[in-house]
Amino acid sequence: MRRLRLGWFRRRGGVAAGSRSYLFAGVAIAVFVLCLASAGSRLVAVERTMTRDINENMLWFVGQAQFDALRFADAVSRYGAADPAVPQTDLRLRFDVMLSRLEVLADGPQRQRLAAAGAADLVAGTAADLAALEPDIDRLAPGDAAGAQRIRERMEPVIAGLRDAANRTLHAERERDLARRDHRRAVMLEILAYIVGLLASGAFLSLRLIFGLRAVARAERSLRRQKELSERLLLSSREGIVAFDRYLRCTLWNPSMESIFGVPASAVIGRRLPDVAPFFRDASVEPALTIAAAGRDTPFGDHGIGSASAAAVTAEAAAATERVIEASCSPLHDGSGETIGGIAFVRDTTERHRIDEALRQSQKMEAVGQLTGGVAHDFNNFLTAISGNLDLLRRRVADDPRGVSIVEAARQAADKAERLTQQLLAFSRKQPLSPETLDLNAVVRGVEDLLRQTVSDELELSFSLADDLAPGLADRNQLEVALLNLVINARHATPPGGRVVIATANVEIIGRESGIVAAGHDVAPGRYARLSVSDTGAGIPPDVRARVFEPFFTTKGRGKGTGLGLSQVYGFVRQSNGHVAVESREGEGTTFALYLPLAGRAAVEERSGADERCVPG
Amino acid sequence: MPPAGKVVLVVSGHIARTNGNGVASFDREMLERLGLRTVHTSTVWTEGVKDFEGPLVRDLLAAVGADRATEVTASALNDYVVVIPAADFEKYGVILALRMDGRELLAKDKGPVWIVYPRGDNPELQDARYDNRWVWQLNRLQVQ
Repeated sequence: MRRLRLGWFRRRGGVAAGSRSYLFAGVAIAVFVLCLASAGSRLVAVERTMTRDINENMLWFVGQAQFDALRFADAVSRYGAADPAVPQTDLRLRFDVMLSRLEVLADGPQRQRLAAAGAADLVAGTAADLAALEPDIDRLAPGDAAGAQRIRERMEPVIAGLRDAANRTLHAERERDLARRDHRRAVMLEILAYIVGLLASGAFLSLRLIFGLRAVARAERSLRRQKELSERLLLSSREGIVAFDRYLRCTLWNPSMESIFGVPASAVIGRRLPDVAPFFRDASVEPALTIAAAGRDTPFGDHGIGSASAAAVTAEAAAATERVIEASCSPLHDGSGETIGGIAFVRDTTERHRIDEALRQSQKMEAVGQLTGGVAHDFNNFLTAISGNLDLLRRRVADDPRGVSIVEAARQAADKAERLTQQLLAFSRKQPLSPETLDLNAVVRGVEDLLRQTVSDELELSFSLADDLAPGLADRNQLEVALLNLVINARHATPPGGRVVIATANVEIIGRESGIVAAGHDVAPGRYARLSVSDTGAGIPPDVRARVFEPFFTTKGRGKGTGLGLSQVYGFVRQSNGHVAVESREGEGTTFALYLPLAGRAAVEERSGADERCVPG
Repeated sequence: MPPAGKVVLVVSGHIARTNGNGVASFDREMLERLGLRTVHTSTVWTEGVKDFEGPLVRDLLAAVGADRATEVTASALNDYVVVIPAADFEKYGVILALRMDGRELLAKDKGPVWIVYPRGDNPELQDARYDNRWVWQLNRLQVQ
């Protein structure tokens, strides 16, 4: 409980830290933008005032006016004193220049600035007043000291006013400059603060960015590794993996799918799976795909093994090649849990099924053989007692013809029963055998006449005997019986006009061969003498083929066959350490082949346990 | 040909054509004959927008054969002196204003000649560097 709570707190802490980190970034960005905007607007304002301030050199204007007023006054004095260095034109020039200076002060911008300095009244109307002096100046004669004195007296208040104006302007400009300095200093400090803010928030954001990028790179690396791994898994999987969207359109088709269905991914991607192969249209497969694509866990298929989330669906007879393919479907979810389709794992289990089937057959034959053998053995003992007693009884009733005939009938029935038990013992590999080195060709020729009578004239019997056949090891009598049984079987299976071929050959079995394994047990590799009987009959259907060696199994009508002929063949050959193979094509014919061990090899080939061995799967 | 009326502007220095004493002297009429141009602009010393009328400086320089001038030193009656790059006259329609709003400029105001830049048409001229070159009471130009 305590642990659970700790975990919960930690998780909660993680979430809170994540959103707080975003909050910090947001605040940093806001600070950054605010600082930048404020600093920018401050700088723009400073730039504007700097441009404006440049033209405000009022002190210079006032000073120049004062200077030129003094020069004019000086020129008037010297002219009045008849100074030859000051001609009339010069006097006039000094007057014009002074007036011009005063005119500039009286003009709009300058007047406003003087007013701001509190000096407007000192120069107001001065230019207009002095302009009235113009006729006096023009009339002033050289050496007219009194006239000059009058003009000078008019000039005195002007010069004093300009001096005071200059004074006030100076102070006003100083005050203004100092105020500006203070203001600019404040603005500079403000901007400095903004820059510090910019640096701090910028540094924070940069660090965040760097760490963020590193985290992204890390995540990308791990994602790439994961992606590579999953791709490799898909490519390497021996299971077929197919993904599909909600409309069963294929989105993924791995190489194993290609080898199972023989269709490359390029021809499948984007197509609806039921259009791709008959397998996906199978009555047990398509519903499973649909249910998975709808986001529901597939219910158990007809071969329902597995968990509820991955029901196994078996579809036999998937393609024309009669292969067994199994698929298990499950829904495919995206990151948010939404169903985006389904995924199916597909495997070709043909081989496994075949091996399972062979094993099952082998085990059945074994069980039947043991049962049959046990019954036949006990039954044979009883028969021996019955026969012996019948013999004794026969002697007792020798004088009674009726009694003799009754005992004789019983005796014949007992003989038949004894033959039956012999055959059963043969099947269960418990009959006494006397293996000897045999030339199979000689055995075949020895019973040739009998065989010809068996097949009758309606069928053609031919022989294909190997010249250099290696000698085999088997019981001669039982081999002859087996051969006869096979030929009888062939005759029954073949319509008139057909052919029966008896052949011998040296063979070497290197690995497992399907036709041989079909007989229900594993075959040891090695060299064998092969004796085969082929017919051109109707062939044996696959479901019957597996049972032909079972005792009492017969396709002939009731009473026409014992159902023990092929059982004898099977039991005899297996007891002789050989193998029986059936190859059959419906409509074309059947070949039964006996693989008998070679003579001289028997000692080392003693392998009584071979038929108990499980087929490796 | 020497001026008939009162000389208002004397051009000296590297000039090809003179009309006496090695300088080119102009009276008001001679200046007007160079061809008048009107500049509609504000100034930093006056209120409102004014119409200035007078010949182009480059026409004057062409008239005295100072086509290759690099700079011109302008002097005023009030002893103000400033050096102006000759390029200004090529680049901008700088005039020697004789009239403001139709009124003749007089020596007791800013006349008889005021160098006026077309400040209203060229924002780059709205700068203290150019303001310095607006010489009023102009009476001498020395060409380098």
